[in-house]
Amino acid sequence: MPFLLLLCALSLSLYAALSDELIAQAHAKKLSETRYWHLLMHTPHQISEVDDPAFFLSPVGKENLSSELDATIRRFSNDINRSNESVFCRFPARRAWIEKELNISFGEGECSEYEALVTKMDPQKVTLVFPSAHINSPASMFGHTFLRIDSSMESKLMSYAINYAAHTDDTNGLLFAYKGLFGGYYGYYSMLPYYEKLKEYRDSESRDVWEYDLNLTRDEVMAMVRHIWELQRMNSWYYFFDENCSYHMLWLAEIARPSVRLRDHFFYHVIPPETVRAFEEEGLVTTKHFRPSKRTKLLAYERALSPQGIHAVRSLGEGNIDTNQTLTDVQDRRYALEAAAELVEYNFIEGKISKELYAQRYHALLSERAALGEGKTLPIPDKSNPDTAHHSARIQITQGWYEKRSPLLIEWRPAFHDLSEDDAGHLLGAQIEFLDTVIGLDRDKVSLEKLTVLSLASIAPVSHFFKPFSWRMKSGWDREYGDDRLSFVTRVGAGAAVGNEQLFGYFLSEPEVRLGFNPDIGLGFSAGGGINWGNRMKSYVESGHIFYLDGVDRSRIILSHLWQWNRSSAVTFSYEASYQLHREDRVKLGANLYF
Amino acid sequence: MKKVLISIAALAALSTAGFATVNNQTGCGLGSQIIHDDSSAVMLALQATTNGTLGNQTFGVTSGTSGCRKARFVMNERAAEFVASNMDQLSREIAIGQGESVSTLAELLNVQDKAEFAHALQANYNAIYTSEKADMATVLDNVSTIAG
Repeated sequence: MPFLLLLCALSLSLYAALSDELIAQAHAKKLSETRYWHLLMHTPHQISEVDDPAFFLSPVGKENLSSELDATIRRFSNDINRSNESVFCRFPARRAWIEKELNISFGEGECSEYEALVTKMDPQKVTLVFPSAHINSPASMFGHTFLRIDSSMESKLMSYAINYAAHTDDTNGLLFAYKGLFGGYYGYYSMLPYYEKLKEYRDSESRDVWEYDLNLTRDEVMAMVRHIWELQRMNSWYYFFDENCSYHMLWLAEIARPSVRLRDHFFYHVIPPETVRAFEEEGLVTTKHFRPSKRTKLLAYERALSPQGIHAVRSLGEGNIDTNQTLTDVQDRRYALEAAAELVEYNFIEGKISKELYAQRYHALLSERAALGEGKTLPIPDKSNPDTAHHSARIQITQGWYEKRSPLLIEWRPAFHDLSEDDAGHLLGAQIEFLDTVIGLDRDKVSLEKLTVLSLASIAPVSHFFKPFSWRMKSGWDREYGDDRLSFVTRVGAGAAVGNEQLFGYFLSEPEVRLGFNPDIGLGFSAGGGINWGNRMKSYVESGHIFYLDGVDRSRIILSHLWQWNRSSAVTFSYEASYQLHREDRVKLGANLYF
Repeated sequence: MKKVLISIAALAALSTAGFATVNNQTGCGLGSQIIHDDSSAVMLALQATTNGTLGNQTFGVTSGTSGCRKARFVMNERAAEFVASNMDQLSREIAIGQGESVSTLAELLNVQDKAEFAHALQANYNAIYTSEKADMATVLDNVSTIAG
């Protein structure tokens, strides 16, 4: 017995000696100061962004990377337990890196869960995936990004999607916005088969999906997978503007290839489409693919069908008519049945028809479609890639010529896009503006011309199959009202729009509340439209009339033209005339700089 | 608690071990989990991935799935999992005679001639989807019979 005790003590001290020696080596090589250790610890500066205590092996690990490295080496060397829940199995990326740097091996473990994951995932390549905005949903207007780990299978549907998202059960939009901005949600990484993500974004939410294949090597992909495993159960506070879904994908890519510096492309906010460009600028993107959303596909059917075909789709969707009677062209019949099946599914997703009715109609339509044999593949027109869009932050410098003064206007807008701007890479009719601030300089006088708290618009054209309503809202200070005086206005409007990517028009009814020098309540009506001329030229017009309670109505027309020179710059011109007791003209000419 | 559930769910979605223990008897595993058990951990994990913005109706899309009976000719669990989760998409592509889901199924079943496979499935649509209530096991059975 004493002998056994002695043996134990000896082996323990042997372990201890080994770990002390390794720690000394790590100190000598200053490993805890290297970039890779900072990447593994998600530490951009002094403190790790991971908020889960389980991620740290040292009690001060979140703030002290050196202590964390020591603790990690000690646990890898000393821990007897090497089963699934052990430190040995939970941190394969740390282990692989330390083994390489110190040129040692910590030996084998029994990490069956991790190995089962790697076997099933069969990691070969990585693709960056960007689901764009969802029409009529401001919360999705920035889009989303996640990574897809591709296997050696030809089919990409079986690949795994690596996603980071806030976890919340809150359905209150305001609460969501508040907590999203200032913290209050935990974000988690998750893994799901890619087909599940497509069902979610492409089908349920009708968002176009863009894929960017990355040139990461298999070893680099493995480094990423090892680290994903480490993060799987960890939470971090989620922040809508900086520590969001896209931001976390940047870390993963840097873990895979530490020589890229994706995070350095951003300094105060990370907007999903901007991350795509960062990947491109770092030379990571090889090929691009587009997956049309359910809505885009149905719009393509509208284009491909004859008027009788469109009529047939609507009847078929309601469970009526036999296409043999109305459609003579067999291809038209095929398209009509396919579109009707899509439409029935869409209506089911939207909650417009019951599950039983859906299953019954869907089956009947597809059965009839199958009988018609193979036909043409539906042509789906190309859409401009989100990576062609203008950058999201804007500085605008404009010379204004007004009725009574000629101010030089300097604007800063952190995000993101308005209706008069070039639509390339953006969802048509989606506007989101945040903290748009304009300062006027006029003969040594400095004035606040405009400060938009938030301005949103969703101009969603109606079509044969879709009847969305269009809406917009704006809240902030401006000088649009009588004689250039500042007032605070909140306006909410709803209406309808028609058109497509080239040409669109809308009509809105907009109640307005104005506070300031002359508080008033009004009801306005606006009609507007835009033309995308091609070559990134856009014209925009809007006219409106507001009936105020005090009886002094106001009319206004604005015409603007913009030429998007490239993603970073544009030239803009606008003319505005308003009439309220007297007429007032304003002309502006200037340049937009995007970054 | 949610955190734990999500971890479990993520694991279940990934590892064959998790998959087998979740639904060992039926062989339709993840697919049936998602569809039948709305309160399951997988549901929570899916919710956690929706970027927290809107309630989504992912599950509605797979309404066609109802069964969990073990298919006679199931070649592998991944095919069963895939078919169970993609019933509606797959039936539409089979009816049209082409598509990514059909190609994926062909690959999962080790079918060499994918075009011929898609053609055969389309020609036999009514034999595969005998009614709107056809379940995963039946569909996979019928597909195996036709392709085999």
